[in-house]
Amino acid sequence: MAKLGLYVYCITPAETKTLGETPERKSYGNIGFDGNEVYTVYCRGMNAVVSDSPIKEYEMTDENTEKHRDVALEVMKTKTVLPVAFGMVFESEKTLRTVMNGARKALQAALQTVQDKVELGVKLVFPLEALQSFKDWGGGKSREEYVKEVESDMMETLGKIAAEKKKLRLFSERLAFNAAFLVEKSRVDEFSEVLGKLDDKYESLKTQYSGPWPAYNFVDIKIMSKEKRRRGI
Amino acid sequence: MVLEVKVAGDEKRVEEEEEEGADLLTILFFTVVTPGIYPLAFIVKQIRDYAESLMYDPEKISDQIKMNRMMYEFGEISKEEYERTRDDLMHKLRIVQRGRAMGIDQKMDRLAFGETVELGTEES
Repeated sequence: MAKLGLYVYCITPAETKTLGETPERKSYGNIGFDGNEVYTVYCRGMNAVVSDSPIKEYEMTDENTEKHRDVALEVMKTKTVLPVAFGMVFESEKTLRTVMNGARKALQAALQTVQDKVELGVKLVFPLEALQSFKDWGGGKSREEYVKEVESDMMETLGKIAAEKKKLRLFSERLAFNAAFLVEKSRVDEFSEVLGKLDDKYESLKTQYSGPWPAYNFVDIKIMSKEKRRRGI
Repeated sequence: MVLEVKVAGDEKRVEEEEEEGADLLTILFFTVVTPGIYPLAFIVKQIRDYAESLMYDPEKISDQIKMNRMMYEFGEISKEEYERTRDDLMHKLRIVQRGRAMGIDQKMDRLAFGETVELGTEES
């Protein structure tokens, strides 16, 4: 059986009542991998949200990625969440604290970036018939022209409400638009309303609106060996 | 261990980090023109990587996994069809990842210098 380590789901700011005080370990219940308890490990103003889990490669199956995401979503109900990439496991609390301490400034800056904000995802998808003869479907425009126009309109209109915006790769020819937006929690309803109008405007496309998520596309935290980093794995 | 933290606006740096290594044609050119400039194991590795990239592209497999999921969420395919395609694609991805995890390239590099090597001993 693989040795147990600490699987990290996300990082949150830690609240202390008095300066220098170490806050108590907080439990989020048995919602981690293998039904293990999810709890906090404190390190200088931040909490890593972890569960005791085997040290191994975590396969990106639907079940595993949903577990990783669901824990972060649970924590997000009460805290600002700094997402951590899927599959990050540490040998011990000591190792985790050492690494967090080393990256303290970068982590705190990242926490500032996502403070009181959530990520919202927007995809626009061509119907199947559009791919058969795009020029007929798109009123004479090429797919590239159409995509460029839609992208420019969506990014400009939604970008006015978002604090940050990020175009994401069109991973299929079915996609007309794919982007993530970092939005103040207080402006999510406004964002949804504007997106609703854009959905009417592009009614021939299918819209997928997802979130609120932790800011996965705006903060990327990976812990890796120096060798892996060098090799870009 | 390295903790890599990237925040919004860092894309340029990330892209720059990703651009490393000489391309295959350059290596082959120098190998022919000035033999000995690149170690044999390095040349073999570049050719193997190139051949592998033609056969398997993990990014394309990942894209197909995402697309399959999206088609299911839009109700364009049934749950059974979604699961069957997902399992097939995951199997392909596993094969590619297993090959990389074996550290075949590391083994070849070290053998070139006459060292004893164990497979799968990469630092984690």
